[in-house]
Amino acid sequence: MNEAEEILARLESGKRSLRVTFCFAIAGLATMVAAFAARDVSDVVRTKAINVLGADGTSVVATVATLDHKIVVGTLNGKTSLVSLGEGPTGEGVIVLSGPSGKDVVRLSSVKSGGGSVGINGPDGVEIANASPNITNSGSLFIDSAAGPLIGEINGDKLNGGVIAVRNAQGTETARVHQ
Amino acid sequence: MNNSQQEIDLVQRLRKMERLQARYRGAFVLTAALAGVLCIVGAGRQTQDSVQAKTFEVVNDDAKVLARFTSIDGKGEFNTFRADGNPLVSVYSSSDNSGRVEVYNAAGKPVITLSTSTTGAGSLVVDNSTGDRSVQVGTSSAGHGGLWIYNADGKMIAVITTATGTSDGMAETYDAAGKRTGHLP
Repeated sequence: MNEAEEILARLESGKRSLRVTFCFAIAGLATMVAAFAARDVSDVVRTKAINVLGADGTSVVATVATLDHKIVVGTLNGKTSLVSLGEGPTGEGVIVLSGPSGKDVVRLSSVKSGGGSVGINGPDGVEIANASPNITNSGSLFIDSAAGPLIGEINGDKLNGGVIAVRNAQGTETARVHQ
Repeated sequence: MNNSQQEIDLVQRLRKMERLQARYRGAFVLTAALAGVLCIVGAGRQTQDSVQAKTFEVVNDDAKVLARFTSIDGKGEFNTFRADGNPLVSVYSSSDNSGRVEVYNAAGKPVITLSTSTTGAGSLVVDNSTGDRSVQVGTSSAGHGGLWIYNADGKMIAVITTATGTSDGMAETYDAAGKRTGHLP
């Protein structure tokens, strides 16, 4: 009986530490719940990709991600690209707008010399107008017909000044504004 | 104290211990269930309807920032960069609080600018490699649409817009000294 009493006494003396441990656990859990409920807006979120999902909760409609150490930014309609931002082959910035066919219809980029380039394409993705500096670093605008040949040109250089020329479908110049 | 009295006392204490144990067991199970629910809810938040932060940064495998969504002076900005830090495309606001898009060349200079002009109308400017204006599409001071072409020194050499005081179209060319060299009509 004495031994049983000793065991019981030991058990009874341990109940206080059990209660304290339990209270600490509850306090920790309460802190966790409070922190979860009152979480603040993060200062900086760093990640390798950000995806925005569509209403179905699965399809990606916008993304910002890295690919081969280059940035890729785009909005999508299904698998068709809408607006894309990224890095061109020579390290220049590029913005591309796509048409309903999925072909590129507007392209903002750079020419080899480093000047800017704005290209407008037809629905088939073939360029029909381009504004960019020419080889003399003066501004230029070229317009092609849907069939391909150049039909309009605004061009110039430091020596000769500006020129505005229009051509027929055969490529023959039909009018010119110049000295 | 006789043996029967001791036995009664022990039984009472054992029953008390038993009740306490049952109480603590119930509380522990409840707490564990709550923690489990919290963990499941936390793990289930893979897709959130909205993620808010003051800045979002997309980094590559070398932790270099390649894209940044942030705010400057209360206005949103979006910038993309090459791995060496040179800018590629910036979407931000002009000093007049209008929207602005800049595209940079390989040397990190802005060469295409979509913005608003001083009249508040839209403007597209293409610069050459030295940073001088090369082509501009926008509006004249009178609010008419137009296209302006500049030479390598930034001097205007061709324009298509509306003639002053009329609503008629016109085209003019100039030499480097600013002298008109041709015109339509």
